[in-house]
Amino acid sequence: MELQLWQIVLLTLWAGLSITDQMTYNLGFNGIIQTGIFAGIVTGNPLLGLGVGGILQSYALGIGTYGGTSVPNWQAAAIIVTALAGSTDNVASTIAIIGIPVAALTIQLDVIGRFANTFFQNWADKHAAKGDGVKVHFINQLGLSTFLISRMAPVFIGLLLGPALIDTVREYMPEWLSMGFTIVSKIFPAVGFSILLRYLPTKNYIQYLIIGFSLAAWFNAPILAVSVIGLAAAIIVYKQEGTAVTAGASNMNTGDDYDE
Amino acid sequence: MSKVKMTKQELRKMSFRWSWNRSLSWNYEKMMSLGYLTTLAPFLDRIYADDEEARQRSYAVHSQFFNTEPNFGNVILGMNVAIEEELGKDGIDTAQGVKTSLMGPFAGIGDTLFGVISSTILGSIAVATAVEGSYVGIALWIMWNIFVLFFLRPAMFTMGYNQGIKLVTNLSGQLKRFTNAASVLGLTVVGAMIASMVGVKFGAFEFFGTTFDIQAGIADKIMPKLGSALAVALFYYLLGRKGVNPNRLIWIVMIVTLVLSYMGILVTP
Repeated sequence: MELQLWQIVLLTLWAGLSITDQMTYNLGFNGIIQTGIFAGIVTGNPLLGLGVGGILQSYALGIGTYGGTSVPNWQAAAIIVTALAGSTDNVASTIAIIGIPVAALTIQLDVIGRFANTFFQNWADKHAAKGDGVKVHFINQLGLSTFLISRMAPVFIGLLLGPALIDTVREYMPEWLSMGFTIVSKIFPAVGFSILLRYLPTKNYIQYLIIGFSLAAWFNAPILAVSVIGLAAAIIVYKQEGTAVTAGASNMNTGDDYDE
Repeated sequence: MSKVKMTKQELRKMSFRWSWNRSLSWNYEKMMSLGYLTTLAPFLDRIYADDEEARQRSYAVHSQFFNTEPNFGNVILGMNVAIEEELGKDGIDTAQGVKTSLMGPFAGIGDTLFGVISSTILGSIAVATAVEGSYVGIALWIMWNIFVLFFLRPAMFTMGYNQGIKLVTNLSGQLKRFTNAASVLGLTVVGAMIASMVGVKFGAFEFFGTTFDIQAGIADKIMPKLGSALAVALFYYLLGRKGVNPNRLIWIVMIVTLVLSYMGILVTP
């Protein structure tokens, strides 16, 4: 799908707003789904953007920037895929051709940005030593520039060169490969979930993972129903662990107390 | 020592100042150090207005390395303000001690509570509704973000300020309980998401003229969504291995899946 210049500019600006929000107030402009919706509005198909955002968010569920780790830039992928897919039928292949490569290959830009900010740190430290709070405040703002570049550049370049790239790849891509990418896109959420499970106390509470899985696998329970059942389980656990604290360890055996 | 006493409104303003400045200059050397100093600078200028030496020393101390979960950073800042307000320059070292001893544990608790759990529960609901073409889940998530910025973070700042160090001892047991309960909710939702969002379908192959359909003949007879469960179990195991990080896993999964689909072992679900 060919884009107008104003659309490319608007989408690039959103990428800047998005990273600014992520580093500051965290109001949700950094969300992958929100980014997809915005890209959808700009290109005239909000529902397509919502769907793309939902798929890409599922890849990123377990991923947060803990301790400043760099993670794939799914926001850029959401913009580019929504803008270039054109229709729902093309989503899986567009994600594979350009979405995943952009998200994964631009990780390094974030690393460079966080490294480059050492320059602002050292500069500000000189003024901190003199007790100049105004200068420190000012230099701290400049640190945002590296993050802006690292997020806006891939979106701008991707939107500019993307259409030609996609056409070329589609023309030469064999049937088995495009089918393979569709299969990949269905398996990919499993990566997000397994990362998430690594951060949750999965070994202690695996029974609840099994309950949730069973409800959806056998009974096709909608996600909201599962959430409510999960909430009930959470309340039970909260109350039980409360009595464990007040009643003392003598007459309670919670899983946490077992040695391996 | 100092006559300055922060009002509730001023504490709230500091919470917003922290939210904006915390990570703008995030870098590998001192991480959130500049964000911390920038947040405190006007406060330090005020309480040490008559004591240039103390002011410079406080600047030096608060430009040390700092890194924690952004929301829990509010609690630490609140404590710091209370300590230096009460003890003045004699409190600078105490404040620094509180900072360095709490930033690690708070990062752990905060990342679990805010990073994993809110994004697991709200994120999963948002994903599940988004792929069905509904904005409900994402609206819920945005409402949570607004609540955190305008209510929760200022409240955490004030809590740190009012209760000081005794908050930590009071809260640690409660927080663990709460984190565990929230994790249970998170795990239940993730379990359902694995079944409903991950699609794995095995192919069929011919053996001496007889067709063996792995999906219909074996997998479906054991349980529905067997492939989804196996995929997550395998990736979970791989992530625990040395040298496998999330970014690398993405590439491994992509390449192996393409090979398996070329061989016909995996087909389009």
